[in-house]
Amino acid sequence: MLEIRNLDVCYGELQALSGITLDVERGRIVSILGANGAGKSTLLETIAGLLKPRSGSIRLNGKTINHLEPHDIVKLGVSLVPQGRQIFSNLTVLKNLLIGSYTRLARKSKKKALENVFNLFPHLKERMHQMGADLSGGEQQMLAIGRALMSQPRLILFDEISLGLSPLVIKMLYLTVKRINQEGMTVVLVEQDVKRSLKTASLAYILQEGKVSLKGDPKNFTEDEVRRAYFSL
Amino acid sequence: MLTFLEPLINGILLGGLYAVIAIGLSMVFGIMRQVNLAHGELMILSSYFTMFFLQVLGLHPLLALFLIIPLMFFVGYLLQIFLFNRGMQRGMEPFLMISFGLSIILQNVLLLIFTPDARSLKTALVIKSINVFGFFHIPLIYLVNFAVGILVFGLLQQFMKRTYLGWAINASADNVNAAKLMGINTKKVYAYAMGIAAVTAAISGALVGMTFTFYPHSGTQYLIIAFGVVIIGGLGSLPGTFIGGLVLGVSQLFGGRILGPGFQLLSGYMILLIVLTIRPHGILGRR
Amino acid sequence: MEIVKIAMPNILSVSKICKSFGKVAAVHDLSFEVDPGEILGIIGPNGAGKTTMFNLITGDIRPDRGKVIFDGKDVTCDPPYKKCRQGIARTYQIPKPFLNMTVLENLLVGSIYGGGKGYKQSKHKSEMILERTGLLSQRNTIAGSLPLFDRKRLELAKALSTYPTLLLVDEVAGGLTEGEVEEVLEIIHSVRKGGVTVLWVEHIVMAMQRGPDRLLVMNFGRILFSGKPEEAFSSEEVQRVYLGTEEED
Repeated sequence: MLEIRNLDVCYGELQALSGITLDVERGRIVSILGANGAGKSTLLETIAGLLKPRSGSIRLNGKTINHLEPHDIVKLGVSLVPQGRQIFSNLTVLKNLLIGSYTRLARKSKKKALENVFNLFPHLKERMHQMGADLSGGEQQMLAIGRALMSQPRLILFDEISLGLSPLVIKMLYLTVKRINQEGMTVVLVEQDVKRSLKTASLAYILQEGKVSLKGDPKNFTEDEVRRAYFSL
Repeated sequence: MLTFLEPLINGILLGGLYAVIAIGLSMVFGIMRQVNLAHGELMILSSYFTMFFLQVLGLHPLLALFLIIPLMFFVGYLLQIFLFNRGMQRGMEPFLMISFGLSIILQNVLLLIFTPDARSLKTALVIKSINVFGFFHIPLIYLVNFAVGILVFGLLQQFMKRTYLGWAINASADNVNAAKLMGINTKKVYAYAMGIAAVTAAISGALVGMTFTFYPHSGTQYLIIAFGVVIIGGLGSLPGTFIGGLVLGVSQLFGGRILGPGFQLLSGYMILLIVLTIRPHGILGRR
Repeated sequence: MEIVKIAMPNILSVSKICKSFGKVAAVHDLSFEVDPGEILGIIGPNGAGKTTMFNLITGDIRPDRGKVIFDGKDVTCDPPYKKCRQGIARTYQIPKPFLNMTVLENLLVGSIYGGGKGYKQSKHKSEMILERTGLLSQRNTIAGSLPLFDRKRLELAKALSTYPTLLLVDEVAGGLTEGEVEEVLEIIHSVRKGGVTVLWVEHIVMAMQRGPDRLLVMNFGRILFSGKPEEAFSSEEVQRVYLGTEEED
C-alpha cells in the first residue's frame, strides 16, 4: 500500500533521513522504532505531507504523493495522529471530531463516522461538549485518534501515542489500535515503548540517525540485535 | 448628570462603529498572527466605491453595500492568495512590509483618481437626528452604525460557531499543522479570512463615509483607531473587540465633554495607556 | 531504627489540601508527609491531580483549604520565587530551557538569581551540577539545539542550580529509551545522596519500581495507596485503577 524509496529529508541544515526504503502492506501493523532524534517523527510528517523530501519517492497504492500538500494527502486516505496529540483546545470534543470530517468526502458519512468513534471511545461521548483543553492526557489522545478516524482513512500513522499516559490507558489504547486494524485499517506505529510496539506489530523497522538499521518480524529480534540497531552503526 | 448622558450614549453608539472598524484588523491578527497595515486603506477604498455608486448610479450607500461587499470580499481573497500568502512564512516582517507598501499604493491611486478634496456621503440619514426628551440629540447615523455593528458581530459570532469554515478558521488559528492534517487547505482558509476582514472594512468604510468626511489619506487615522480598540479590548476576542470599541468611543466623547472638544483623541489614548498598564493583554484578551 | 525516624522532623508536610476548578475537585483533602532524604514517587491515572498537587506545593496555584509546611514553616501562600529561595525547585514535563543561552548559562541564571550566589562560585558549582547530570561536555552548547534526552537532563540541572533541599520532578522519563531512563535513575539517586529530598511524579513503570523508596498512588484527587513500590504494584486496587492486569497476547 505504501512504498517509500530512497527518501532523503532535511530539517533545515540537518539531514534527518537518508536513503529510507520501506514498505507497508495493506492491512498490516508496521512499527517504527529508534532512539530520540533517529528520525521517526520526521518520517511520519513527511508521509503526511507536512515536510517535503529533498529526494526519493513515496507512493500510495502506486500513486506518487511526496509532492502533494497535506490536505490532499488526507483526501487520499492517509491520516496522521501527531505527537503530543495537538487537539484544538478552543473547540469542543464534538467540534474537534467533526472537523476531522472536513474533506467533502468525509462530510457525507460524518454521522456514521461519529457513531463509530463514540463506540470505540465511550468516554468521549460523555464529554462531547467539553473544551479540548479541559480533557486529561488520556482523553486528549483518544480525541486525537478519533479525530483522525473521522476523515475515513485507510492508512493511519500514530506518533508516540503512549507519551505521558498511565499504563492502564496505554493498554486500552493499544487494544483499540488492534481493533481498528482488525477492521481493515493499515497502521504505522511510531513508539518509544519497545516491548509494546513489538507485541503489536507484524513488521518493524528500527531507525538510527536517519537510516534503517534493522527490519523484520519483531518476534524474531534478539535483545542484542535491537540494542545494536538503536545505538551503533 | 444629564450632561453626561449624551456623551455616554453617543459614545456607546460611536463605539459600535469603532468596533466594526477594528474587527478586520483583530481577525487577521488573531487568525494569521499578522498585522495588516493596509486595513485603513481598504476601508477608505470602500468609502470611495460607495461614493462612486452614489454619484454615478444614485444608489443609497446602504444599498450599495450589497454590491460592495462581494467586491471587497474578492479583493481581500485575491490579495491573500496572490500577495500576502507569500509573506506568511518568516515571522511578521514580510507581511508588514507588503501591507505597508500596499497602503501607500492604495492611498496614491485614490489620490490620483479622486483628488485630495474632502468627501462625504450626503444622504438624508446623515443629517437627521433624534431628539431625546429635548435634552440632547442623537445623530441618526450613529444609531445606524451601532445597529450595523451589532449585526456584524452577531453574524461573525454565529459564523465562527456554527459553520465548517468557521471551525476551520478557528482550528487554523489554534494549530496550523494539525489543521492541515484535517484536510484543511490552510492557504485557502487564510484567503477566506482576509476576504471576511475586507468585508468588515468595506462595511465600516461605507459607514465612515456617511458619518465623517474622508480623504485619500484618512486610512491612517482609522488604522490607529483600530489598533486602539484592539489593544483595549484584547487580541483575538470577538466580544473583546466590541467592548474595546465601546470603551474607546465613550472615553473619547466623555473626555471631549469634560476637557473640551480638542481633547477628544487624547482622552481616548489616555484610557488606552491605562488599560496597557493594568491589563496589558486587553480586557478580554487571551494571548 | 523506628524511634530515630519518629524523632526526625519531616521536610514537607501537606495537610488536608483541597483545590477545585469550578465544580471539579482536582485535589481533595490530601495529606501526606515526606521525610528528609527520601525519594517519594507519585503515580496515578491522568487527571488524578498529580500535577495540581505539584502546583500547590510550588505555589503556582493556591489551595482552597489546607496547608503546606516546608521545613517547619507554613509556606502555603508563598509565591513560586519565594519558595525557590527557600529551597523548593521543580522540573517541568515539557523542558523549557532558555533556548538562546548555552547550557552553562542556563544554570548560571538559576544559581545567581535563585540561589543567590556570586558569579565565580556559581560557575564552579554549576559545572559540578553539569558533571553530575552528564552534561559537562555540552556546557557551551546552545540549549535550543539539544536533543530530547539532553534537554531533560538540562531541566534537572536547572532545577538543581538553585540549590534546593526539595526537588519536585515532573514526568522526566517520558519518551526516553530504556538506557536513558537508567541514566535518569542514576542522576536522581546521586541527587539524593547529595542531601536533596525528591518528589517524583512519573508514568514509566520501570522508573517507579526502581527509583523511589516509597510510592503514593493517587486517583480522583485522593491518595489511594501509600507504601513500598513492590507493595503498590502488587496491590489489586492499584492494578485495577492504574496498571491494568496482564493482557492476553
